[in-house]
Amino acid sequence: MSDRKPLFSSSRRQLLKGLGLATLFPAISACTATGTSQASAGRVVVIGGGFGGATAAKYIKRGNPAIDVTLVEPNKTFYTCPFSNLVLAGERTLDSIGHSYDELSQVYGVKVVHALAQDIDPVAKRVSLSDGQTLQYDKLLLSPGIDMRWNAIEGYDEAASALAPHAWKAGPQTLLLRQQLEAMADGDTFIMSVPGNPFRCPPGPYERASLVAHYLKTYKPRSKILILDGKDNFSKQGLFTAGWEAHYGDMIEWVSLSNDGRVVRVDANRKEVETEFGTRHQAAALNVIPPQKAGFIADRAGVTDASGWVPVDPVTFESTQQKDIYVVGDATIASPMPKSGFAANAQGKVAASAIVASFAGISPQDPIWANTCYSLINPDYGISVAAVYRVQENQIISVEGAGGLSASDAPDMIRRSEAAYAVGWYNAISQDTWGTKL
Amino acid sequence: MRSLLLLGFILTMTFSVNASSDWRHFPAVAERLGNQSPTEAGIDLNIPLVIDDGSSVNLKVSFNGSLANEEYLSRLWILADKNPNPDVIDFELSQAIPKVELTTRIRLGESQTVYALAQSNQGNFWLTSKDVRVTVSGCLMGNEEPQADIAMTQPRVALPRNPTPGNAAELRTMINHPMETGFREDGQGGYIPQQLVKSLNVTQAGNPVIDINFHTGTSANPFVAFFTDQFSDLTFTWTDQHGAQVTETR
Ligand SMILES: Cc1cc2nc3c(=O)[nH]c(=O)nc-3n(C[C@H](O)[C@H](O)[C@H](O)COP(=O)(O)OP(=O)(O)OC[C@H]3O[C@@H](n4cnc5c(N)ncnc54)[C@H](O)[C@@H]3O)c2cc1C
Repeated sequence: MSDRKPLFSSSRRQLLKGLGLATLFPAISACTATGTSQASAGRVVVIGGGFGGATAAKYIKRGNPAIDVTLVEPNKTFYTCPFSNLVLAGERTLDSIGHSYDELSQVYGVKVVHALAQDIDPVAKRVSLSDGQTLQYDKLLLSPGIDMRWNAIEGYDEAASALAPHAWKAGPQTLLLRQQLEAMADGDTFIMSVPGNPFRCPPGPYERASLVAHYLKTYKPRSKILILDGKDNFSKQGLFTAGWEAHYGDMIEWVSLSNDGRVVRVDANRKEVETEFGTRHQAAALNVIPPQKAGFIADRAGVTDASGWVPVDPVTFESTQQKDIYVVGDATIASPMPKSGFAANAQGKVAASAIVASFAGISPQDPIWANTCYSLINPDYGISVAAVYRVQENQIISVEGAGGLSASDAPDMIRRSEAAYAVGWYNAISQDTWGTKL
Repeated sequence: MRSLLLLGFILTMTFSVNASSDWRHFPAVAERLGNQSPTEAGIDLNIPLVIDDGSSVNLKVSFNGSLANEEYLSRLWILADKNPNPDVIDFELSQAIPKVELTTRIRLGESQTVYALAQSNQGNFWLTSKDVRVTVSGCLMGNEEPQADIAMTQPRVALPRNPTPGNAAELRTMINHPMETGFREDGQGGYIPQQLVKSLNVTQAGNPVIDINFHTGTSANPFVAFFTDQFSDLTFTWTDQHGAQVTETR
């Protein structure tokens, strides 16, 4: 199907003009049709227009506009998981966390194709799409995020998620969970099941519990929140626990792994869960965040390992298993970097510059990253954890002494400014990734 | 030039030594083997290769090697070569274990090699290992949990949901206890004293099913799941290092 694609992007044409080579155009196009990449600065296909993919597409174009970049993403609007917990709490609309691809295509000249990538042939360097197109690439960049491991918890499959939403990808799932929270009566119980590590956004479940508590405290103050956890400790635990006590009294109960918190079976019809040692809990609203793995297209590309995630070279984020396939974001094994939007954005830039450098025949620079995860305990009470990462002996390490947690004894004024920084962070990263003006 | 070549050769050699033959330099394995050599197949160790939280790591070991008539696995050790004490957990198995598939949660202080060594009642050995990397994920910096009461509490046993005698199914056990290793500093120049659950013994109608020995490499709140085909008349006894016992029956 590649014959239906224009052979040259407009920028390519401009470049040729600039070089006074426009008259050679027909001759070159004849060559290109045979599949050599010699005549262009290079073809990149980016799969996934989330934090990692949209950032990478933009920064490749910024690095060298002559590179031909196609972004494949099924959705016309991307809804961010960051701040989707505020949508659950009724503090924001879904629209307010939606982002379009207009800037990428109109300002940066990225070709945006709204389709699902279905298969990848890493030898022929071809991607086949749900709309029947085939795209040829010199370099492929994947940022497909996560897929749920359906049935890892007995009874929790895709059909069950229509009754007991995960809301761990933002959009319709977020609205479904919001409806269930709205339908709760005062005194009802909201249950959240949280998986063991690794999973998308380590502090996310606890921020969700906080903001749902904020909503319930206002509208259904006798209700309870039960967190059933597959872990014995969690991100920013001390700060969360103190914040919960101060704002929500005993509304939130957290059951750790060693107190029989791990959910092993879900009955979505009855909104009932059963834990490892046979305790059953029933909810009015049930949120099951299941164990996860890299988005399926990573499997098709042959870049995942036995863990279901993608090992990468930490300097370039190129797959260690397939040449010329770069993978960023939640799909990768980048620990100690967390699976966060902040990290995906930073990794997208690192991979983009590695790709630009590689086309130019120069070697990439050693990257250094920062990450900050803000969480809201209520819309005016923010906490954070920050860290700096670099590569040492070919592994990502967290730089000692850099970053840190919010102080445990900070006054409310500080919590209020951290909540404001969280909004600032959201606006800045949205603008950097999708160009959304806020 | 020649010495450079030689150096290159030596380097290549060192790098090509893979994890499973490193056991020769790891006394905890080598001493148990004596002069026997293990079969390095038929035993599988399932553990994440990159670990975000070394304080509780899921580990599953399963055996599908070939056994002679009347032969069964009688011992199984999990060992970690860079933990302060290499003993993680070990099992004494009986013929009442129809299928060796053991799940537990372990502690790993740093990146290292984890071994599973099994021995049959006829003295044959099987060995496997995995190199794992332990990191602390940036968003996982929690606060240290305050130490709970040092007594064993909340013994738990979960039988399979619809057990049919004679059909192997998984049974889970856990008891709450901090498993203080004795390696933690107390902030006053000394160490917090060691406090461990030593063992869990399971019997069926008085006959041993499985004996499990916990060590400093076992995570807090020792958890073990194993397969059995006996689901009644079971007694579970946990013993701590002072000899205190907690018993559950099913
Ligand atoms: C409740 C919640 C709160 C969070 N809060 C924060 C926060 O405050 N700060 C923070 O930094 N992070 C936060 N995160 C984490 C953040 O959402 C993720 O880490 C981030 O989205 C990862 O980016 P990504 O590019 O890897 O994946 P995504 O952003 O999920 O993007 C993946 C994209 O790929 C597309 N895709 C997948 N497969 C294909 C295919 N085969 N073909 C084409 N397209 C495909 C998908 O449609 C999707 O648009 C939160 C997460 C949750 C769940």
